[in-house]
Amino acid sequence: MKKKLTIHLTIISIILGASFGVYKMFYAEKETLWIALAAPLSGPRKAEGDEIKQAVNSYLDKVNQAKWLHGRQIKLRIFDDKNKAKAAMQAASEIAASKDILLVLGHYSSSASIAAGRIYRKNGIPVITASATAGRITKGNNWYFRVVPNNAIQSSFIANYIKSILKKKSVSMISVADGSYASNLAEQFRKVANQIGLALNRDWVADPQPSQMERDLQKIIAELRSVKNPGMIFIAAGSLESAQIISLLKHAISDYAVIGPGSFTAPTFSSAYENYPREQERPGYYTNGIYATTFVLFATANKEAMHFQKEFIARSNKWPSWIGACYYDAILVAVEALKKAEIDGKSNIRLKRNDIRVALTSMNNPEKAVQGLRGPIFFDKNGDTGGALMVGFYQDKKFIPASVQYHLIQSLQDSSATLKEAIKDKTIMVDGKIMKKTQVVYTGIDINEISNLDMQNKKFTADFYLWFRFKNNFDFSGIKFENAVEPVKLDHLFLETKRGDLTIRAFRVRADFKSDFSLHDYPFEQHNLPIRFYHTSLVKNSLVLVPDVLGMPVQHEKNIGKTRLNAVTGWVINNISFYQDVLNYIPGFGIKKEDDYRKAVQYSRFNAQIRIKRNDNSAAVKKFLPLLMIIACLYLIYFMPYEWHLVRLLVILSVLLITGAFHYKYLNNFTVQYITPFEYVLLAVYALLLLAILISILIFIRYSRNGKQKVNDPKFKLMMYVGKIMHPLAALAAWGGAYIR
Amino acid sequence: MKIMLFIYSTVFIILCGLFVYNLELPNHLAKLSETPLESQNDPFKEGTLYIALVASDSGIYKASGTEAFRGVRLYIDQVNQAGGIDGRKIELRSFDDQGDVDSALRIASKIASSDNILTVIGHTDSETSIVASLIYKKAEIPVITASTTSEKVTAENDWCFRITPSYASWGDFSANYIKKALKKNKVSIIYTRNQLGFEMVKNFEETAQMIGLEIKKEWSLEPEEHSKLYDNMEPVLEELEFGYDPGMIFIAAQKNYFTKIINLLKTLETDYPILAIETLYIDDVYTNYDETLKAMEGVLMVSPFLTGGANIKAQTFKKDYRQKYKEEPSAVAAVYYDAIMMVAEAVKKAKLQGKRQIRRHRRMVRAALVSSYNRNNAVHGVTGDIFFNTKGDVSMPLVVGLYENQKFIPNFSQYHFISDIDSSTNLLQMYLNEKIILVNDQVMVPTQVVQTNFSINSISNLDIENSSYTVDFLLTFRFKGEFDPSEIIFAEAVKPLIFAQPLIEKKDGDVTYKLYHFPKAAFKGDFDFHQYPFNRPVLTISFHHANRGQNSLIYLRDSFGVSVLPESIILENSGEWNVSAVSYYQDIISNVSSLGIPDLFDAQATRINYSQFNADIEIKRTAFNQDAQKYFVPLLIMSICLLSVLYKPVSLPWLRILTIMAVLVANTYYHIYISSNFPVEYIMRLEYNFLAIYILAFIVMFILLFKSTLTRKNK
Repeated sequence: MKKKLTIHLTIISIILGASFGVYKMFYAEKETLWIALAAPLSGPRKAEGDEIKQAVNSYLDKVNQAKWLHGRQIKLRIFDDKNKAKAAMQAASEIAASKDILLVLGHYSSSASIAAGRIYRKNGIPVITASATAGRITKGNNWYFRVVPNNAIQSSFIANYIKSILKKKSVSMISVADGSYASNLAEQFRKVANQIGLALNRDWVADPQPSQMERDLQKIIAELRSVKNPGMIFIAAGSLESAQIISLLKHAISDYAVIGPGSFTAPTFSSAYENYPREQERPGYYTNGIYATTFVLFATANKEAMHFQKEFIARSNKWPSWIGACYYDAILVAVEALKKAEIDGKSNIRLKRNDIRVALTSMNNPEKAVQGLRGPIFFDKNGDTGGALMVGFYQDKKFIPASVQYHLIQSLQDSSATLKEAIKDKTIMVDGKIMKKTQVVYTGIDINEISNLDMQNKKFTADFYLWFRFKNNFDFSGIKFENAVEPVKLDHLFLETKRGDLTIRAFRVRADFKSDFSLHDYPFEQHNLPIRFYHTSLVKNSLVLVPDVLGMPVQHEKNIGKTRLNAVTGWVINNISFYQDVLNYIPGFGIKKEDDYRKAVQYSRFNAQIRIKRNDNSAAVKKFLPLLMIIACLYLIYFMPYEWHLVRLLVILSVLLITGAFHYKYLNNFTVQYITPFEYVLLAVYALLLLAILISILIFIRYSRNGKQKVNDPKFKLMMYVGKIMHPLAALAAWGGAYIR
Repeated sequence: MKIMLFIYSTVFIILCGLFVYNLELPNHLAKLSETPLESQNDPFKEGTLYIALVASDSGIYKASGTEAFRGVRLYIDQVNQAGGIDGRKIELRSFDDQGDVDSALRIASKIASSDNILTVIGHTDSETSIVASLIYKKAEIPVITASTTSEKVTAENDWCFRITPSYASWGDFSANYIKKALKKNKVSIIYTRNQLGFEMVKNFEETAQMIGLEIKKEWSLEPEEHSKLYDNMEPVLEELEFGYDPGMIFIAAQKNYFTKIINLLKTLETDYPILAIETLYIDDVYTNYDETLKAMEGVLMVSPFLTGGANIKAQTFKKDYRQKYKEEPSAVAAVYYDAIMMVAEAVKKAKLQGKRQIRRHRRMVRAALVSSYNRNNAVHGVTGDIFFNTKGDVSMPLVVGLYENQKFIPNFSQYHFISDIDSSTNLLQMYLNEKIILVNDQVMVPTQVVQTNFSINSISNLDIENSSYTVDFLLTFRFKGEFDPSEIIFAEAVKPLIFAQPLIEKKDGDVTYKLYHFPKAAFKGDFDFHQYPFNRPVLTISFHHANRGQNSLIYLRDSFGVSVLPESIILENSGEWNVSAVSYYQDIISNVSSLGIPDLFDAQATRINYSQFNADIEIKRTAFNQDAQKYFVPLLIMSICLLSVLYKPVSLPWLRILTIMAVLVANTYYHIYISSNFPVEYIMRLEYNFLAIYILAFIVMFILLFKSTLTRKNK
């Protein structure tokens, strides 16, 4: 006996070892591609550096897992530039000295980028930044690329927004003379304000040295208090300096209108006040009402950005800002360039780097653009990217999209129409490009009741309040519920009221909706019941339906576990979530799931997802208990006397009959292509039956061959042993499998 | 063999258990086990809660005293039966103050010196309450009074709370109602020279002056001299007889008094409009009631709440009261029921712990009464939503109604206190239209009352398994002003019911009556099958207005409508089922939403309440329970087969296994059959039996093999 066991074990281990070896051989490592990331990983801007690292890694993991580069891995080498010019130059020299770094991502700040940029140019290393926006970085440096709009665009956009949307005639500016980011921004702003006729009331400049800045700012604020009508206050400074300015401002004057650039939406700015007593007392004390621009606004963004946000939160348990999203775009562009550059087989690192630069430069028009989180990315002759900026304001520490946004018009098909719209104040001209208004409508849903869950017909009834908060006009007749069984008409107003310049309209809707009931985890599954709608005549560029996060703050906890769903059905609501995404509609082809963003008409779609789960485990108990019992009965045949052939046959047949009945009923109810855990267990019972049949037949054959005199054949015992061990093992494996599924 | 005996008995016990479970026994057992045993084990929860009730069991308020006692008793019994408050039982200590100030003082001192009375409920009338509550204040004992209405009771006494509205708010409200809802500009007052009269008239006058209601004349009467009433009234009657136009007549007197006044006024030739207040509480309303009622025809009354069962709580209260005392409950019983409920809720909130800390406990109860409740978070009592304002008073909307056919019928226009959702409607517009009133410095806005009733003719297509039924019914509405039934949502309707042309439409003055007939309305409910096949399905028809909340629209059961007895409802094509009970009631459903209004974002939860009108038709199986028969016979046979296996001769193993397997297969098919009939996620009572058979089959088979192995070894 022992000998046999040893042999068996040896064979098994050989097989295992061999398969592991094959696996290893097959997936042998190929050449690794190195990318450098230079970001502040220590010091006051560590938050941004960490976010950048996180975002870049999340994309690289995806690329490496999917083996998009023929099995070659892309790896990251990280350099800490401490957000200082000196450290940045040091990092750049190290990168330049290395023999395998193909490309650099960074740096975070404009000053660091400017300093390091010279070294990269000299050594011929392509660099992509997604945060440094000073014009000098890319201008005259054909190795430096940027995937976000530069300061010229930003300043121009802000000036235009102040004038045409916020309707302010005059503005005061506070800037910091840092020689890079803020100075550049201020300079551009002065230029544009002058051009478009926005009166620049006061123009204060503070010294960048911390001690001197403090004194300068005190003086500026004192002066500001004496100014009767300062207009809108535009602050051109980095995140830390801006936070300081705002806190001084807030202590001096409680009522003011402030707008800031992208530095206002960086993590350092929003977390700067956490330790201030007034902020702790009333979260949002300092920031409430401040307008700022950002490059990515997740609430209004496309599907990819939503996905990125979700993934980022899952990875780090933090909300990403535009910085993470833009660096995600940067690595995306970098990987695209690596693919295009065809650097295989070349040995010279300088040649490889040059090929990558050429590949990047060739992405120079919308046709060759890379689809990023911000939209299509392509570079102009300076290596800059255009695109619209997003505007929002702070409320209770949340950054809320402003009710009017702009989008870039890619082509000038009908210039006369555009001209007309310009007169009607519908477009603005930013850095030589025309941008058109996008209406943001804050949309909210509060579920009252979910009823009539019908899994067979794949539908349910929802009763809910639906509201829209918007500026000016909004045509409701175009709202279409994508998954409504019968068209839902929003013709009966529940409530209409006005707050400031925002109109609120609420409806009460009670209708049937279609839903896919995914049974992958049956009977442990949870279902997501969707309610989706979009506007049929207003495309995403003109209308974005944004979840009203302020109006539904407790939404996530409120309905959970409550009997909003009739408890008698055995289901309860687990979670409710809302998001906006994009619906691609290709004329003539209908709604497409796959993105062909160039041809498709895009609609902003609002989604509510109501997750329901079973009240308790009784469903699982009543589904699995009978199966468990018949498996147990089947097991008993291995304990029967050898000569009970008939009895064994009887048990096997009965179990087959029972399993068949369960299976028949299951297949009758659910027509799904995949195997659910329940069916998995059913199939396992068939397998166990097979084993039982096999062993029974073997025993029977041997028994009839032996004749009746040799009942105590050791072979019988062995066979029974096999059954006794294999059966529970297989059963356990099946349960485990079902559980994992 | 001992092992075998043990095994046999185990199987037998399991089988017995199975059958016992199927009998009605578990219901009783469940009730027994519901009483938490922990109360006896947990040393901190030990101890009874003593609550004092001071009422007049003798003297002039004897009738109210009895009612008060009954109301309190009813609640305490219910709570104690359900296991008490956190395991503590409530014990009632009742005292009789005979409606007399001296004995009230004596009793109050006695309670103050007790070392176990947690809270006092009482006293019956204002006078005794005022003096006694001063003692309670000093001793720091929280008091809830349920039948007093004088402002002085709770004034400057932060240990005293009141379940009933004060005289002041009645006066305030009445003046407003006369001017704004009845649109009268002139009023004359007849009042009694007692606390009620003085307090009410004082507030009435103040409000009248503010809103521009002219008070033409005030007559006062001595309250004590019932016999001299006629003499007292003579000058009044004379003046009125000689053509003096009093405008509206407002009577501020207790009921036993004003009914007589009204009787006298009715002898006049001119029928003057009269508004009286019905405090409902402390009068000897039970004497000579019918006699005076006739005179009340057409008189408007201001009442503290709807006695007709405005909510589900009131309805269950009525039912329980009737069951216990075999009498209709009075309003007094209802308020006292609410008072003790409020005490119990406060005790629950206070989370009292420890023994012999009565002073601390009293303070904790008081704190809970003061701070735990507000308009959004009130205790839902029989008389309405209860919470205390800073004065220790409730602010509940008063109800106006009139006597028609000797019944109190709520008027079609009522008022409610403004809430957050109202603030979004156009208040300014309402103000300009003089629709808003101010009571106790709180804004009230109008509420429309629609009297409604069902008349259920027949039920067909009853499908128990799918919880669906088709009902033929009539629906009536009576209302003033505008009311659009087409926006009504029937919660259970399979398809929205369409209100076509009403079958009957009548107009009587400014009251509209509409009758709709729904010959074949299909409904789908969610029957509860947990107890199947012993369940009693309830077929529900309920509706509410889609857009108008409870504040703007209340459905009330129309007492004029036909009430159908359960026996007369025809249940078509189903010999198995009987209608056992029908109940019609109004209740409230509430949704939570901010509706996107920024002002409401910070609010904890903005509730939007709807008044809903319901008909619950409970059906039960006829004596012969077919469903039970259908399943329990096979279950019984299967069980017997399984048991018999163990007693068959040791030989013929295949026969025994065959039996087990046959049972298992049969059981599977039955199980699949019922679970496809009832697609529910939980385990029904019947299903437990089938699950038990699976287990049992395995056990029997196991025993069998075990036994045969044993015998073989012995050989």
